[in-house]
Amino acid sequence: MNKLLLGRYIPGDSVVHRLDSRTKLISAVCFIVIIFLANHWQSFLLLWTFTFLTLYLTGIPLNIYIRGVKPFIWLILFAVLMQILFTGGGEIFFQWGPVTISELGMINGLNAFFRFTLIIFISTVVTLTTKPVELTDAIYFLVKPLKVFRLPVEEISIMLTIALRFIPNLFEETRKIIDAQKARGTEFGKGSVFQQMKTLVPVFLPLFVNSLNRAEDLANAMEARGFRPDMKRSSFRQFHWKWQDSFTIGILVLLTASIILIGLYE
Amino acid sequence: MKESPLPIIEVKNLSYRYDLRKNTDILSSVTFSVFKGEWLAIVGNNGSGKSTLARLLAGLLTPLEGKVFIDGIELTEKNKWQIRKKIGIVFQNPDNQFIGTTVEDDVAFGLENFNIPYNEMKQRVQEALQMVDMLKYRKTDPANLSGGQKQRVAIAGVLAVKPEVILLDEAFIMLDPKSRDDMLKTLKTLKEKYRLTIISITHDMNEAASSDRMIVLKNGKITATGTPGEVFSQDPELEPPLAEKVRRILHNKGRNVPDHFITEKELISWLQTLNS
Repeated sequence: MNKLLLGRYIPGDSVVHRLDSRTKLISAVCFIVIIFLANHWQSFLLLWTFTFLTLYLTGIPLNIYIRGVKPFIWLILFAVLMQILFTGGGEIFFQWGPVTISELGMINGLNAFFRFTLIIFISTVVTLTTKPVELTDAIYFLVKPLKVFRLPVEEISIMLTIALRFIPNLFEETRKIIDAQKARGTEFGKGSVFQQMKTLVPVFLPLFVNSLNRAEDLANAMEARGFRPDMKRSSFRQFHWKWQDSFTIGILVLLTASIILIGLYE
Repeated sequence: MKESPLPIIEVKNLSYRYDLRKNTDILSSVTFSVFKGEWLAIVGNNGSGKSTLARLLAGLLTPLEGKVFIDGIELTEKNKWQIRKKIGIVFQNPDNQFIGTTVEDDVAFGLENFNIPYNEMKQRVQEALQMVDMLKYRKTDPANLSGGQKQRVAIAGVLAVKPEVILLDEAFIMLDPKSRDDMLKTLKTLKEKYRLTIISITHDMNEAASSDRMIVLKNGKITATGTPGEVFSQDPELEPPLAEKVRRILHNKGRNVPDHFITEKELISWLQTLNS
């Protein structure tokens, strides 16, 4: 589980950690949008500067971010290769049937590479510096207007929070069951794919049964503590909007404006 | 005993059955009262219906027959939400009742449900955590807590709502003896301080022996009620707590021990008189 960086939180007390989760979420979405608007080297220079500054401010070592890119490297290379091989335009260096290596293709390939890595870096910043619960709260806040369409936003938010809360328990339980099955002589990770899948059945079955029992206990506990769906609840976790948040949003507005201007005048 | 004559909980002819096709009741015509400020232990073996009783008292199940009155109000489907402010329940499994992602979030859960404003909530959470001595863990997530600490948080969650009655449904069964003792001590002090009523459902006889009054359930029927002393000397089938066991053994060996049921404290002071 340690390989996948996506969705992991690294505790810290940096400026980025302390930003409001809504700010981080909105900024990340905004940033990803402007990444696709950028198509000049000046724009990318700006975006890279912004990204590296953010990475630096999180206080998390750079190699952790690079590790975050690694699982996606084949996807990125594939996209880059497609751009290089099949985009024509500008000076053509090499041509063989549909395969064209051209100036424009090279530039597009480089842009694709930049876009992918920037997106990964920035989304990793958000997940590494924000507690999952805070992220759920931010999502809840942003989709709250959808209540007009009778979307059960509160219930969904509670479901998400509880799901996040029980992830460590499920991991722990899976580990225990795997140990128990090993003690009974099951060998994991051996034989054909089909055989391997078969050995997992006696792991998932007790896991599902336990989860169902757990869900019933949890429902009882929630009801006993007065939880009623579709009732107004107050919230213990509050958002605190600080000047740093306004500042961040301001910087993003400036960044967006510059990217658009560079696009118009270059 | 600081008993006021007014019962805080009255149970009248309560019956329940999970499977309506069968004729065996899990609880049949159970009647008893709980008085304000007392510690009532309900003991019984597995399948005696004691957990069902807890669920009925908290309004999680609807009785087949009979009535439950809490603070003079009958518990019904309509007003069970109001009544849940008066009765808090702590369940057996520490993990499955931990709803929040951190300690303070979990304590706040009940308050959020009753739509308590933020400032009051913040204060109540802090007070409740202080009562169970868990304030310094308020930002901790459940994965980093021991079972005993999780049960303390569960109790804080109940206390924050300021109930009249706390119902412990085998709440200490998954704890080690040391944290079980600590929890009992904490609850005893809190009970005295805030005049809480505690109903503890258990099959730990040592826990039951330290109660003010106990009720024995067998196959869904009450077979004995009274102070632990009365009950343990009445019912020879019931496994007695340690002190009483020691007394009976000594008694059978013809030693000069007291004739009646004794608590651990009494046993200790009796042993000390031997020395002098």
